[in-house]
Amino acid sequence: MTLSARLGGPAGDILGLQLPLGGGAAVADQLEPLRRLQTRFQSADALRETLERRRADGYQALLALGEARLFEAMGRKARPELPMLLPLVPSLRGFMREAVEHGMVGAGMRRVWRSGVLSLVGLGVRGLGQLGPLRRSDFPTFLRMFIDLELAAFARYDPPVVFLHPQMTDLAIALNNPRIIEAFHQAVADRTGAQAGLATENFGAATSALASWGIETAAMIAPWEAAGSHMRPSVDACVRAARACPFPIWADRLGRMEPPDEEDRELMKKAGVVGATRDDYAIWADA
Amino acid sequence: MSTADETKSWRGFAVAGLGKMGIMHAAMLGVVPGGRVAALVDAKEKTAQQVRSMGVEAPIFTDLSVCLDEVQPEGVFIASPQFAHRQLFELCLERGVPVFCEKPLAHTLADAEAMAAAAAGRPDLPVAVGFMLAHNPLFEKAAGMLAGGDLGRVCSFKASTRLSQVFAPMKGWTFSREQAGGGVLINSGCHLLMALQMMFGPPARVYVKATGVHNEVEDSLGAILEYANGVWGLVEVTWSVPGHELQTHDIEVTGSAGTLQVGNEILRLWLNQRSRQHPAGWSQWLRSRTEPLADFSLSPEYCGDEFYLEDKDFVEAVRKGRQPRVGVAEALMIQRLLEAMYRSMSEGRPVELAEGSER
Repeated sequence: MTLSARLGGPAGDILGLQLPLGGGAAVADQLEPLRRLQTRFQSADALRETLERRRADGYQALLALGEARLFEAMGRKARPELPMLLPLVPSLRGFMREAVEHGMVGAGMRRVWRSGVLSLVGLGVRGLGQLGPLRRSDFPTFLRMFIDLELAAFARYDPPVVFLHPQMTDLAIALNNPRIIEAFHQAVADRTGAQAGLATENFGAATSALASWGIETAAMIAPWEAAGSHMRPSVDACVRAARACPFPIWADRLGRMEPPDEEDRELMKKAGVVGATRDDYAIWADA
Repeated sequence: MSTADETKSWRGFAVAGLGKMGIMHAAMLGVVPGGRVAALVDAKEKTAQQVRSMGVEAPIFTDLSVCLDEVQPEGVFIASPQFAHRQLFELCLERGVPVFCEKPLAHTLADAEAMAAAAAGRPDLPVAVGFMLAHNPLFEKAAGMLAGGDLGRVCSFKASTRLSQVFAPMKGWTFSREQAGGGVLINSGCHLLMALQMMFGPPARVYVKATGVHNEVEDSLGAILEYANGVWGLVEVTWSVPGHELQTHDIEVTGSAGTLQVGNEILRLWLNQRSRQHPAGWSQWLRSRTEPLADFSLSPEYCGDEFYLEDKDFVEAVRKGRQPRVGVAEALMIQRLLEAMYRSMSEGRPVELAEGSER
């Protein structure tokens, strides 16, 4: 079975929880419905019930950051009545907030050490062996340890694909540093049986960078909509690049609270984009 | 298009101060046309080493003066905390090096005025200040609509900067009055003040009430701004409100012909009757579909296009020997407004901008 068939639900879509769990940006007039949704999902039981309904509707997979509420809703292990989890790592939300107080390095160190000695031991000898480079401030090693820590919480759900957060993918591209992607691949391979995918906000640059680095990815998430918003460098260039991609692509809706319309679907079809990530209000409105 | 001979002479740019903003500028220099990082400068060598390990192939310096001697960069991005801006800024101008200085210009008006004087002494050198909202075409378009009379007689506005960041006592220079110059107003609200300045010019009088909900600096404030032409506005700035994981800047203007709403992502105009350019009712423009757009964005959901555009503008200004779009003159006006607002806050009374002395 292809990855897109295994993960895709109705219209090939996968679920997303970024907006409903309080992340991402929504414009002012979307805040009220979003707030109602976020209040509802304060309850792990309510979140679980809604996830069960979406699974019954045919949605097979859920893209998610590591959140305590989500893990509580999912229970101790993967269950067929719930969607498969597709981790999006690392979660930069809390990290960036801490960076305001402690700087980037300080925030990183705090996060690693706060996880506790037991967690570090839990990473195994390989993890402890990384502490030397960590002290020398080697960013890819640092990133790998971050991802290791997050994947430790996801591993019990047997995720089929783990996606690298777009800010990290795009940082690697901007800095022309394949070691960042390689560190991610290594962490995913070591910690899970999952395939490694990339999320990006710069699709054209991402496909070019991967080709020049000789790095393969299992799947990609990138902005797609008929109006062409955020489709860099251009809609035509993105369509051409997508059609040449051997891996499945899902459309990132970037905080849009409405579902993809017919024109969006038409463009996705033309480019071979298999579906969209859906964290819009419509998909969760019955919560 | 630049020739091969021209590009050979491009030495690249130094980035001084390697916190979040320094890393962002280093990354942007990897993607803006003609951009290149020539040196990484931070008082903490370990911090610079970490940034280099992200993939920035550039020598590390703990002293900007040594960097300028050895690397002779074409320009310097100053992204240190604002209390360190002046020293780095003046050093660059003394050595004849163009500067991009992060906002706010400084933590005090005295430092900002000294920096403006230094810049005035070197009008040949491009000097930019990182007020990225000024690179968002929606605010420029909104300013054009007000100036062009689309809204009829402009009466008043409501404006806010909101962020979900501070819900407990915080550590670090950002939350120190002595080092940052204040709290949420100088650190985050200054972007909103720049947008208001683009739309309404400088106010004549301000009255501010503020609260340090969790910290010695103000975490939330409310202000009334009054303008010489009779326009007045209510301003709210807070980093202690839920629901704004990413910072939002919103302005709603009331005029005799309708209402205008503008924020980071969307501009809406509502007219009570058709004008020469716009229909009656609502018209809207999305940032994601309004040129100029960035060729690369590290953060489309929070001003990623603007960060790219301001760095592109500075690199281009240096190469073409022109002044960047947002310079010291605009930044100094914001600093004077900040000074008046903090004075009003501490003295508990309205303050005329013309009063102008140090707190």
